[in-house]
Amino acid sequence: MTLTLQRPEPLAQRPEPLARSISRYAFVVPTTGLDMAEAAEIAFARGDDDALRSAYDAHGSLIYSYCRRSVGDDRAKDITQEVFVSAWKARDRFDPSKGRLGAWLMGIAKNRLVDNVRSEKRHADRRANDDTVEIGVESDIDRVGDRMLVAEALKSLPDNYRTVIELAYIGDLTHTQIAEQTSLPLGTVKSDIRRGLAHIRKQLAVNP
Amino acid sequence: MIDHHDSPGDEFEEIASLLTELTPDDIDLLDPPDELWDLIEAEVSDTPRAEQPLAPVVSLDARRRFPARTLMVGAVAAVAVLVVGFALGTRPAEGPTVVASAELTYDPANFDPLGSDAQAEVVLVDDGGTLRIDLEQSSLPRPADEDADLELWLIEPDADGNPAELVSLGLVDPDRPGDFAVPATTDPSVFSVVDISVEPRDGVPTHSGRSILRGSLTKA
Repeated sequence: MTLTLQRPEPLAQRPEPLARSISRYAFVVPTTGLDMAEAAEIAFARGDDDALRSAYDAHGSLIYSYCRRSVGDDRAKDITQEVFVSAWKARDRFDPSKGRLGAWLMGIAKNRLVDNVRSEKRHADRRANDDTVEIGVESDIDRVGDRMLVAEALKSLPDNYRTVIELAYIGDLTHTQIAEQTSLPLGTVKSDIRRGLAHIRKQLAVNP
Repeated sequence: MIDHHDSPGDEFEEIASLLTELTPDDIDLLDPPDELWDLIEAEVSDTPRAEQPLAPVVSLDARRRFPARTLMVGAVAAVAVLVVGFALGTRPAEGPTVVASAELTYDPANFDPLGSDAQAEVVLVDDGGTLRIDLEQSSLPRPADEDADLELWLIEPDADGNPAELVSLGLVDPDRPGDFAVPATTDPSVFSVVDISVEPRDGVPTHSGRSILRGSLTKA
């Protein structure tokens, strides 16, 4: 599934929302995908065979990409490995009823990346005149991680929610413009956006 | 930019602002190198897993919002459960007695990575009315930074599991962990969480916020 950051095309080139609007009142949020993800997370917490592999398949790209944004190739590989190994060793701490595995793994990665930056800084301080060292900033690491989680959550949304949220926040359209583009009633646009945002927020939840 | 879209409310403000900031790099993910899974699989099949961690902790983010003294150690939710009525009044007259124990474990989401392979068990010993913590069966790291030490703490969790109060029991030598006297004024049924942190030698006596291990005392 690919998202685009370009301003959404005019309705004429976007037939899906129309097609969906016809059947939308019978449309039930397809929870199957989420339920399967939750089942996989419960299996992870329980330590089932293959649960680590499933977690890696589901979140390996996210974690690796996040690491690559903050550190070089080799460190990114090492840190990704550390994240999955330490998460597996400490899986008792993951509570699927309180948060999502992706967000938990990203929290672990964030912790590792911040630590990496701190230790780079210590080294850099020792060779004070070396201005070739590029060092990430801790607050950037936080923010990038949050954005990547939001992007993942957006990808996992049911189409009708994802469409209106992309139009509103990436396409920067008003609710009225979205209603016009999608031929959905304004009230539906508003409630779909709210529900979509609530779905995203749920994906971002981590263990207390 | 957000007010431009009849905002759906403050409760989603943070998510809305993240959505408007998304860049293509946030969305298009890279595939991890092919060999990475094999490395992970090889490593986990070699390593026994830590047993039953006890005290959950608050997120690093939450921790950063508060001064070190009050929050640095993170929440110790569920510790309320831990009503450890150490029956000190009925202790036997003879010899040291173990009254409680805790297994200290590492929390990868919130702790300093130095602790990732660390393990320790502590027991609370009543020796003729004097209490001490014995750090035993520990495998503790040496701080990579030579200007840092490990420090042992007792934490009093509040009703929400956040640290209300802390007492330092002293610095820990990773090679010779040893015993630590519990001050007579400190009641371990109140200060029921044991924590080990990395403390830079920066002259700041409060907890650094960089825990490596933690666990709740439960009655022996």
